[in-house]
Amino acid sequence: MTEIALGFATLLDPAVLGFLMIGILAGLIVGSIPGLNDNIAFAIFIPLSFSLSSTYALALMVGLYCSCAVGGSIPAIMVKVPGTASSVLTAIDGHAMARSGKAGQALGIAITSSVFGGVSSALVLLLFAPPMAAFALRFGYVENFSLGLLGMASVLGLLGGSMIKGLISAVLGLLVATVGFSQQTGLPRFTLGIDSLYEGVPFVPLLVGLFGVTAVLDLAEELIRDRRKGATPRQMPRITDSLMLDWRMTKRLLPTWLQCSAIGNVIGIIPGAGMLMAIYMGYERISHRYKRLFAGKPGEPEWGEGAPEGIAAPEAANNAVVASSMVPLLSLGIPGNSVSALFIGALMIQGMVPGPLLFIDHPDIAWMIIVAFLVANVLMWPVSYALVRTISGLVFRMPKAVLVPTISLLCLTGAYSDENSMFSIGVALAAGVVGYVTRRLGIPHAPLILALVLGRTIEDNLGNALAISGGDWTIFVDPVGHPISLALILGAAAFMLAPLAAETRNRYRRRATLKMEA
Amino acid sequence: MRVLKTIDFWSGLAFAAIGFSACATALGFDSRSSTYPATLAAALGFLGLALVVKAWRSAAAQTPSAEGCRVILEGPALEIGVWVLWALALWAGLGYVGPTFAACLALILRHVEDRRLRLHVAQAAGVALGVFAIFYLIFNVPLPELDVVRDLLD
Repeated sequence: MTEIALGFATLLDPAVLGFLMIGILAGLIVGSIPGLNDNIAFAIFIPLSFSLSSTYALALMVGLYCSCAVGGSIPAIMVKVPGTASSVLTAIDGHAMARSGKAGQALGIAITSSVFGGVSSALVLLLFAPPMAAFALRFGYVENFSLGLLGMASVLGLLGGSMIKGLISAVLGLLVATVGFSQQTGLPRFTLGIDSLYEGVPFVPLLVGLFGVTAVLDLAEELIRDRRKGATPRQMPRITDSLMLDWRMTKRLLPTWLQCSAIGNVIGIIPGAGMLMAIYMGYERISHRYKRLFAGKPGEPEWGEGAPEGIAAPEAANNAVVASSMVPLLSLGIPGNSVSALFIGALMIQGMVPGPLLFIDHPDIAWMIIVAFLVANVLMWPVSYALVRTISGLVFRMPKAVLVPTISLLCLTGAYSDENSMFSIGVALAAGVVGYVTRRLGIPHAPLILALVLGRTIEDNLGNALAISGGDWTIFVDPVGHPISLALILGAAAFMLAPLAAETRNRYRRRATLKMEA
Repeated sequence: MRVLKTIDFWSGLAFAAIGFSACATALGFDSRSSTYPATLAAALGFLGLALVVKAWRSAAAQTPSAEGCRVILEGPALEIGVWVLWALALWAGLGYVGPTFAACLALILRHVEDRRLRLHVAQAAGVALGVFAIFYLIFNVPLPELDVVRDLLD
């Protein structure tokens, strides 16, 4: 309780609360602009946080992270263009409901569901992160290496698509992380004679490039495609009805919120699983419930044609991922998704290292982050209700032709401010091009980001563990000396083997079906 | 050869080349610093080759269309080109605001359909001055600005 009080005491400074509010507002606006998302918002705001104190900067980031997904639901409902990828399913029923004259009700469901999911995940963060961090303090080099391996394996195992491309992405990230002085000998590696690379590839410009510049290049491509197609801007429906949910609707949606929040929280804790998996799982599960209980009844639309549950399910699930994705980051130092990887950048700028030691070295900051997620989600409810009409109007007046150079400039100038060096601009531009090209080649970015974050730790712990064991690799699977490491390695193996097992099972099923048909 | 038209084939070859050349470089480091990066680089090389083999076996043509290439050239490639020129101008000591205004104006004019020049000049100036104000005046980032402008603001 003392720690929670410490978190609240830090957060309740009016200036800190002010920055949390700025983050919420900025997140709502950025999230509601189609093509922009929480990654880009972080890429823009991380460099801006250089000049802020740690409490201000981190409160801003928490607000930003919490409200981006809510912002994404606004254009999804109003014009069927998801503001963020996590609102892609909200667009189906949300827009159908808006077209039938219930835009206010659809937005109200989206906001309330998001707040419900967000608050539940903040509670999960509050309950799970501190005990996990306390447990992780027992970890030595051996366990930390195995933990890094588990993080990488979970991302690769949950990717879907080509395993080879996932592995290429991970190995590329690990290789880039070796640039700079060797931690074993202090000798430079892969520095190409560039002094600025001796301490490794600068992390913040690298992230700004991979997320911000890559997204700008995607936007530029989209603008050219739209122009060639002669796409006309969509007409926005008007909000004529009330945004507030009545008691009957609240009671009806409660089971959906509970189920989807639970799904989102579990998915959020697993590194690499991400919001998309949560919204699809939640949507699929609730569709069966809807078809069983409501479909076909008078006044009830078909699933996908304006069902309230079709908005509540993905919105509760995607916001339940937000704070829970911080559980592995704050407790173990492993980012739960790409945004929490960017959160590492924000912490590093402030001279902090995420992981169990954060609770020892900076308890005020660690607990402030945790309670800030709770407070941000609670504040988000009235703020979203008050501003949703203004934001939805503002977004459709914003010319994308001006947006593209603005984001580029914020990202590149932000990269410059990392070390006040032109080299950082070069890194951001190069990372942006690499990000764009690899995306076009179908190389997933999640393993690359995680490998960049964990690369140095993995190598360092591997080297130290092998030095202790005299080069004996069995130390990682020693059931007596290092049972935690063995469990983590088994977990990593399970994550890697699960997709292979599923593929083999499907192949056998297909063969059996073909035989039956023959 | 159908496989030569697949993107995976060429990207696999590129990753193999990067991996094996990085491996050769890593083997030149001292023995304690080389094992880990050399192993990773070799793994990247073999994964690149695995991608080539996979492309060979599936051999579904994925070559981007001429239209797709034009879109990339007119959109992302132009965008990067403009910002590289901007970075070179900053590096050459031409100041921040001038090159930034020019870069923004070029990109805005590229993406808009109408030709309301005065409006777009104002938009470009607004973006350039707005970002300059945020970083230089509010956050005290020492942007590479001309001495004349710096003296004026100081």
